[in-house]
Amino acid sequence: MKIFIITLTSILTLFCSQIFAQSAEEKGLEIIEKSIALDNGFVDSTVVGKMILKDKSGNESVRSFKNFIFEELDETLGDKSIIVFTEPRDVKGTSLLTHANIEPKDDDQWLYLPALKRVKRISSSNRTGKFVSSEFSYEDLSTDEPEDYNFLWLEDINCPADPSLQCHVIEATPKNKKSGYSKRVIYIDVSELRYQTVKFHNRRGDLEKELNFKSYQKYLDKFWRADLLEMKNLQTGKSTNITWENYEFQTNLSINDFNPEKLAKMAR
Amino acid sequence: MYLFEMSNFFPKLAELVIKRRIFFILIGFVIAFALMAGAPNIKFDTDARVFFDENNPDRIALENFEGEYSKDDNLAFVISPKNGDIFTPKNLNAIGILTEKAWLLPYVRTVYSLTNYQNSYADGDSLIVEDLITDIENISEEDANYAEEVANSRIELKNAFINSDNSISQVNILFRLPGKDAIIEIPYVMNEVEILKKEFESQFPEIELRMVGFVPLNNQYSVSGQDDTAKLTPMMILVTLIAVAIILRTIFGVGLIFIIIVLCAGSSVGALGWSGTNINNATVVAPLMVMTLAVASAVHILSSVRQTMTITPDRNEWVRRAIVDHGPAITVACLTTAIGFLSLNFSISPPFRQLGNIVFVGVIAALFYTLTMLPALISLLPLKKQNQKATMDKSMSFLAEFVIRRKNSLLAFTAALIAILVFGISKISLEDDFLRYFGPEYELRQSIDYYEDNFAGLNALEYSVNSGKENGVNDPEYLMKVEALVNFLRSQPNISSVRSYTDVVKRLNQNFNEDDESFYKVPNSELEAAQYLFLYELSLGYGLDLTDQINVDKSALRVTANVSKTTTKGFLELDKKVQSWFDENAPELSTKSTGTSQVFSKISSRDVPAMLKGTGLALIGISFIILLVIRNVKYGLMSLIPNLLPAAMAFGLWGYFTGSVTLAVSIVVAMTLGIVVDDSVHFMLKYAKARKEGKSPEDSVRQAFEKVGMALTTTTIGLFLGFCVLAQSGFAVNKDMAQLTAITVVFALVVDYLLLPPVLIWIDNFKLKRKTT
Repeated sequence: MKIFIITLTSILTLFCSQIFAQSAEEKGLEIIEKSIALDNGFVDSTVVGKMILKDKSGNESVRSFKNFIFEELDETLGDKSIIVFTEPRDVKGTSLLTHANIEPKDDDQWLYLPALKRVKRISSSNRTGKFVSSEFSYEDLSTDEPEDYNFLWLEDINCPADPSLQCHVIEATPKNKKSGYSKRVIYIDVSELRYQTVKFHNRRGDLEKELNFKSYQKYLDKFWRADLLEMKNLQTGKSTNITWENYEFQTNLSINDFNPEKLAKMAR
Repeated sequence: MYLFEMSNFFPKLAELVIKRRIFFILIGFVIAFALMAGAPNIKFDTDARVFFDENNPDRIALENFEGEYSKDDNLAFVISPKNGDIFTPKNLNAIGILTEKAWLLPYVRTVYSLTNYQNSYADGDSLIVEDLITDIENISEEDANYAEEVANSRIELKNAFINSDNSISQVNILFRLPGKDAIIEIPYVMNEVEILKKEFESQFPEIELRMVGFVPLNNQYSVSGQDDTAKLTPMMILVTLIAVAIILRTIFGVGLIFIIIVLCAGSSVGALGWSGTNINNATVVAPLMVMTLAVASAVHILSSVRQTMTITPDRNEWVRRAIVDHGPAITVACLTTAIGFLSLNFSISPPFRQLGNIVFVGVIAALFYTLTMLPALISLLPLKKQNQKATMDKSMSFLAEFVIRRKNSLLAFTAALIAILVFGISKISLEDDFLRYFGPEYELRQSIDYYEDNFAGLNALEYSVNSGKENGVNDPEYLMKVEALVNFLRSQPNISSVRSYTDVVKRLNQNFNEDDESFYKVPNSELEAAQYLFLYELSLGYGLDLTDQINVDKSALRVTANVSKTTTKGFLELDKKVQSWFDENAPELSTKSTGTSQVFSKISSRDVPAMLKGTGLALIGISFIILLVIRNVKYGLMSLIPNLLPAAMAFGLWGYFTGSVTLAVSIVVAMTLGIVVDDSVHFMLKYAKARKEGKSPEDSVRQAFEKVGMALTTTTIGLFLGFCVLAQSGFAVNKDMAQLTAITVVFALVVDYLLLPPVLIWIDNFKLKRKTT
């Protein structure tokens, strides 16, 4: 009898841990999906971004830009965005239009160069490249699409950047072999499901970069936005901070504004 | 030596050693073991830059340059498919796989290869910047042909990622080593690199894979240093002991010598360990030098014992005579040698300073052990008495007679020989090729030679061309001048390839104008150039950027010219040409060259004057000791001849036979001075003593030969053999230094035997004649 109970408990434990393992993946996916869903319905937004690049010895350089985003309701397509650079001076007006696509299809991108007064379609297969020489890659700046990753919930702990909050710790492994990362470890706070910290592991598996989201603010009583993004490269000592200012939502942008032919006009 | 004799120091020492022999044996071991306890702290340096002092101006300039752009800690896989054609789908696939795997190595910053070359082109109204091979798993014949066409039309790829006949390519991996502990980091990287290499070779047996670059080169510094230790130490001990056995004909003496040299070498290495310095390729031979020099001292004691034992069976008398008769000479020899090595502290190259100090400690230890512990051991242990006279003694009197009989013709002959030899110095050129410091027996050296024979140059001239203003790199006028510089460099026959951002901006201009070739030029306006650059930076692939081409505030561009098969001289001449190009065409952009090759190409010419000062001071110090010992200004001055000539003759001989010499050149004179001075001092002392006793110059020469001839010959043979062993080093600096020293030591004996006696006789007879008339 005793042996029977022990066997039964072991089988049950084994069985439960099996269920538990599966649910860790499901739980990870669920949290990410919920977090993304919270952002639905913002329609469009504009914001002014300022990027400060710092090297190891403290030398700084600045990139400023205005960002327009148009929410795509069609689930098979990504959002549309325009980045208009205002600084450095010699690239003022240079604009990048992106129509995001779901992987493995590359995003469609167009670039307007004011010096030539021409719009060029550009290739964007290099999503892993650095964005304007910063520590951010395109990959880092785009929203997570659940289809692109395998998620695994690891545990709930105090958030590393703000210990007063509880965080879900979720490991995201990219399905795309071309990703610049072997995995990312995402910390999402339990109460509001906001990204708090992301740790990037390079292709080799070593921890390479750490991104912290700071100064969250709520807009339209619903949408959380971090005013400050701090990205630190732990291997080079370089860092890039992005500060977001003047968030505006539902500004009556139309999908036509995100047409390549309109890019020169938007750049002004 | 009169000084020493008068002071009664050595007889007192002899009595003390005999009385307290157990104490001296024990204290000797205690001191040696205390010093040796420092040895486990020693590690091997893995950095070619150990040769550069921190305040070497060339090194400072190089480090500033690297701070602005990047430090090229690289490793290049050289890929040679056996079918001789890179552009087959299979070979391109192999390069692609190697490129991707290389990204997974530790500390990787960037991987550059043919397949991830950022190919930019216009496609209708689109501008594409993408990898040359976009999908390495599916490469068609057309893709391979297209890649071949592109690669052969891009000046930045030819001779950089593809050789002239498309048979060799390379994957260049740049590392960002944390730099905390190179001794751990570099072998760690190399270990994973070797695994990757093996994996690749088994996957693609039809492709030969070689490695070149700074990371394997730095690793080689530690590998070959350890090789030298493992190979040369037993060889040195064996050769020394066999030589001693043959000369002294006593196995027991051999055992004693073994103990002494091991203790001396151990003490010197231990002292290095206690000082907290790492061992490197140049200092690795120091303990072996100490062994050789210690043997020379110990042989004096043993050969004296050997002579005395034919006269008396009294063991203590053997020891007493050895110390009293030879103590002064050994002391002088060790002190002068120590001064010579101490003067290496004037070198600008830290390893030479360390070498000097290690040997200094070893020589002082040798002096101590041979005058206390060795005689104590002899008096204590049962050394078998032998009656047979050593053969060498007989031959010395023959030599003496020969020299006296033929003194005039010898004078003429040696003078002529010296003149001819010394003239050879003019044929010597200073050549430091740090890529070839390692012998052809090493795989890395073979790969380097292969690379330079079949691909491109590994030495690089680096220039940071500064526009003088922030974002100035986009100024078309500036860009055109840099382009002109690049074109000038490309027109030089020794330059295999040139890397500069100007190629990128010209191509982008063409791409933006629908690939119209007439737009393959610097853009018209600053804004255009700036926006092209911006676009390009937006489009680069994984891990790629322009930070190693353009400095942070975009005020300066880097121009790298790879120079193939060029010696130090050619390298510096090339730089001179570039400098005069600047003067004529763009004086405002003028900048000095830098790069690791440049620092090495100047190190010898920087160290020679520094060491001249050191050598001069050593000469003064040593001459002072000679005067103190000989107490005769005339003989003191005359001793300069046999002391300075041998090194000059050795360099001359070198000039005729080899011509080029490495960094070792600067230290050889100072080093050998202290060693060769012993021979002449001993000879002159015995000569002067005989003269004082009223003997004729001829008889005095006879007596000198008889008294010290054998000892001088045996020590010279010992030193010669010792340095011949060191000359087996796989490291060119050690090899040159050892060979030059070995030749110098032999020439010193030649001069002491064949030139010095005729000169002494001639001068003294001349004076005698003048007195009589």
